[in-house]
Amino acid sequence: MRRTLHHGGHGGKEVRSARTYSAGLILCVLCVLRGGELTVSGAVSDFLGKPVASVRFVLEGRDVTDPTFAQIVETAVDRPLSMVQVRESIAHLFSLGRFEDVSVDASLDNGRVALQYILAPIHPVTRIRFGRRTHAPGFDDGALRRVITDRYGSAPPVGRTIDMVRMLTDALGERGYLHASVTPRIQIDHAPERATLSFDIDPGARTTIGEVEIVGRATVSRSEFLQRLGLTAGAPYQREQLATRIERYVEERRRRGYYEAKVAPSVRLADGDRVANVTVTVDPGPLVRVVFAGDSLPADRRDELVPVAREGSVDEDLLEDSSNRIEEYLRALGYRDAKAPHTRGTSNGELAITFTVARGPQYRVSRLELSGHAAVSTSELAPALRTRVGEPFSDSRLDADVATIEDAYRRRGFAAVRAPSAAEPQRTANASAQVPVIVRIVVNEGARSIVDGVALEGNRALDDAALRTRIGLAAGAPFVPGQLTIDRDAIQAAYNDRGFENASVTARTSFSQSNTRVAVTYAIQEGPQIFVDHVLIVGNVRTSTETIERELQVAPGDPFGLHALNESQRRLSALGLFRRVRLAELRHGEDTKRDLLVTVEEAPATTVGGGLGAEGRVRVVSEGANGGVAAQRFDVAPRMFFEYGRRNLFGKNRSINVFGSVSLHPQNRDAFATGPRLTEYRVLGTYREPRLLNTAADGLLTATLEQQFRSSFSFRRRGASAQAARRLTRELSITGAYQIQRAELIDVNVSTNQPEIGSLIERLFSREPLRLSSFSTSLIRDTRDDTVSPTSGDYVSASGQLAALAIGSQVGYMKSFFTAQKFHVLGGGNGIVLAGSARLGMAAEFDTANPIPEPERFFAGGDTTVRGFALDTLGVRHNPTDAQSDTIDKNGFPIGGNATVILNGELRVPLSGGLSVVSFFDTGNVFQRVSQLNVTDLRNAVGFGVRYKSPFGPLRVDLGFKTHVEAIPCKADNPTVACFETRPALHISFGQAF
Amino acid sequence: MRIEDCGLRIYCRRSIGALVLLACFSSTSIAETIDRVLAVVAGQIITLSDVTAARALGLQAPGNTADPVRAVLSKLIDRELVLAEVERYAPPEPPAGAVEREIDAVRARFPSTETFDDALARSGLDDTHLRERVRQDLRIRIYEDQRFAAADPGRRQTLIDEWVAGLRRRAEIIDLYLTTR
Repeated sequence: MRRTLHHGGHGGKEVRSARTYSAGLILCVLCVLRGGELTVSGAVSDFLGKPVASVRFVLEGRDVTDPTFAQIVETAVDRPLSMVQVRESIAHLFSLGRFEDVSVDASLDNGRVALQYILAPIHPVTRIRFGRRTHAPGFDDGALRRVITDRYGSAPPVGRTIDMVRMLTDALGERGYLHASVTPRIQIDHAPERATLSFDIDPGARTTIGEVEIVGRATVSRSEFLQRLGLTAGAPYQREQLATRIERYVEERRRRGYYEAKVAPSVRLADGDRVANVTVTVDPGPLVRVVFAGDSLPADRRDELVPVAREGSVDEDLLEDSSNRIEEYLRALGYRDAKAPHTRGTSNGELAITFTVARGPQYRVSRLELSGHAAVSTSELAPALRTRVGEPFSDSRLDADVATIEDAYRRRGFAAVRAPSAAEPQRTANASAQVPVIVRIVVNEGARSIVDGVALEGNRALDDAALRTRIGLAAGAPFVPGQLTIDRDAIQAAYNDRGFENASVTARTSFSQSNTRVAVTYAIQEGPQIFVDHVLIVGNVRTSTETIERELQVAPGDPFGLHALNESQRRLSALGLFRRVRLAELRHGEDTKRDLLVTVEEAPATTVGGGLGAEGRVRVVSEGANGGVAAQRFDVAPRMFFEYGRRNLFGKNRSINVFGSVSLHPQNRDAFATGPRLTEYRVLGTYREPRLLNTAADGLLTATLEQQFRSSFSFRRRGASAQAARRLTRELSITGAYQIQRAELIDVNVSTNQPEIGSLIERLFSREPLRLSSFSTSLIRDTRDDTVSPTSGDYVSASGQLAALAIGSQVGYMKSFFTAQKFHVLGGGNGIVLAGSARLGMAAEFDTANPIPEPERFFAGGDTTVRGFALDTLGVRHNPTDAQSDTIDKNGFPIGGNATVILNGELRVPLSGGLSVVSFFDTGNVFQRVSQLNVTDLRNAVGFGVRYKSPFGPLRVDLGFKTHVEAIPCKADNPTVACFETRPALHISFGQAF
Repeated sequence: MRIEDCGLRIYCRRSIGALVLLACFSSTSIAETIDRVLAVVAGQIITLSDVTAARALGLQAPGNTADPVRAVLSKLIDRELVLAEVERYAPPEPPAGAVEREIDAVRARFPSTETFDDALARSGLDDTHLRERVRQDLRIRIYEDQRFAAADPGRRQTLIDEWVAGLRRRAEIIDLYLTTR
């Protein structure tokens, strides 16, 4: 501060000097008040330790109140001001990700401190503008905007303005404007907070191409060469474009076999950088030919072994590698002395790269001698060895076998095992073609080391007992060197899970003199334990903070554990409420405490879907009028569906969904002529309540209204159910439910005019509406990697249902169903999946005069059960009909049963482009009673199918064949006229069969 | 300075009165910035109190510069970048006594315990913070010793500077100090 004081003088001068004095004094005071340099220590001392009078939050000049701020700010009214708390508060506010700057102002108010948190909100750039001369030749606004948006997206951060200026300048330079000037301006708008980023551009003079000189010989005429490189005198000089054209030219030459072609430009700027004089040095290189001489190599392996064409290069390293590759390839085939040197030779302007292949004799294993192995038997070792008698000998295979043997020994505690090997070629008369080799492997077992004890050093936070559960090595057990690393990692993971992020573990071993005993010590350096200070949750607009907190496995004060963080991330993602979930740790002040920042990006709350499709399957229809025999028809039914979902109701992850579908089926033969009729519909409404009544179970209310078309009948059903489901572990879950429904048969194909089973049919197919009230439960273990198209894992479920008069049901029965499925990828790396499924259903009514109604009975046959049969057509039948055991009536219509068995095996072979083929074997049947379950009555089918992963879901076409066809009546009124079942059954559907 | 004219005297008295009023007013209403964000390095903030702490405790020397805040801030930005690398490679913990020795060295820069505690309080640090800061500095040193072990001692600092410059180029640094000047 410079003070100007005038002495002496009169009148106005004095007034001016006094005014100057006053103004200077005021400014001086203001400067003292505001501070000349950005420093706090002096100012802080005035406030430190004084009680806080008030805490305000000021956003762009106006006071704001936000409960979140009050929660995360440490400075509290009436408490002494602490700079530690001020610093923490700044860190927390900044962590919210809403502010680009946070500062704290303090003032004294009657000896107390009034604090203001000045918050500068982030202003996302919503507009990018270009001013002045932006339409100079070679670029426009769009091109310049793309330079920015390609790198930073449509809303670039204001903080990157300097980088954007550099990128624009570079982009203009590439277009010939070597001295462009780019000046940024930022215009901030409020409510809503946003910014407009403007760039004033002065491109300056554009550099043009002056003289062009070509040094060397281009393979085309000068004019064509210059045209292909875009070099014309007076044209704009564009570095990047020139480089691209040169690269393209060279690529083209290499594709023609001129692998050594080179083009190098050099530029001299002149006339104040307005003119670029370009010199292009061209080396066309010779035409390169790769020649194989000597012994032959398979034609289909040559390009792979000598990838000159693929790499477009005859670099010496590449050729050296190619020689080595050929030799390795031949040695793996037993040509132990194989050589494939290469030479370069030029003639007639061509460069010939010649690989002279000399295979030499083929070595074959005539004897394999394994000795010295006492602790591990030959039968244990031999299957793992790749060196086999009679097969070509390879040194690399022998080395691999030695490693296998040593590994087998080390796993048993022989840490010092060595298995030196020797290959002894035998002299024979025909030594030039075949050489027998005796392979000897001598195992020097060494001493078997037993772990004397395992000690832990340096562990204070975790006791020995906690760590020993994670350690594989134990006293008295064989010492396995590889286990040391596994144990070390396990100990480190245990510490990481407790917030010791820098914990390090060193494993030490101490062998006895005879090497038979070894003491193992894990030395641990724990480092500091990190704790969670605050949990900051940002980005949730509709989702309540409690819903997110409920899934978090860490809370303030907990260790910053790695496993807990990973589990939190998994659980939040599994909610299905968010597009993105990010957990980040924020350091501040005290490095043993960190804030956990949970950033979520919410998914849309409403989902609406719909679609059209068709389903094709073989169904049973009545051949004639009422009472006609069953006939199979391939039925293509157009379908449409609609679904509406609203998730995250009230921010509590509750959801509601409505699903409706309609299928139009031709109902019988006559109907084919009259067109489709509305035969099937389904409306399903569900409400999901997670954490039902603050328990770990999820609640589900379901209401159903449906009309379904089956082979022997159609039915209409209205029902509602309440279900509670709880996941016991990641793989195991249990459900309990109550259902009430009203079912009514509306169309029956089965004739009651069947003396043998007429009364049963009358009871089963009663048109009287029935009320069914039941409780059910199920236990499910699911380890499949994918629920739609699994490739590995198991699915096992057991469910039971009880319907009783006492709970309002008009029919009493018990029903259970068991499913076991396994999926396994076969070895070989081609992704072939072997899938197996077993299903067993059993049911019994409490009163045989009041049987289980048709919609609740078991049926089989069709695209998801036994695929050689049409829908529901699997069953037991006799001629004449046996009322005690048949589940198919005399006309061929299924009547369902109280027991079923279905077994499936399927081989799924992936092809390409989402296409795969399957072959399958299905067997199963439906029995009238559980006591009649008999594997000899199972009916088999084999077949194949095609799967295609379409954008709409996995499409499935299966063609199944019965392995045995049975005679069936052709005419209802004359059972003596017999026909045979149709052998194939075609199914077109979505998803896997199981 | 001579003040002769009566009117002038009145004028001056009023001016001084206004100043006194302004001073009184300022004691209650003119707020002073006691801390703020100066830079953000890969998501981690560096505050004005961080700079104050580094200067007051002698953890970073500003050198002979017209803008010591700028100089220390630059060093703290580099420190944060290096620390991120250190965390990635997790070098061994510093020996137990090393942290104590460094803290003793910091204490020794102050004439008394009171002045040391006062400096800590003004900087927004406590003993735990200081210990952690010193520990991190030692870890940085261990890391650099490991990474540049083979370097010629004469070229070591140059190599470190080049490495840090590379980190700066790759990192996302928001320098808010620029906007305050």
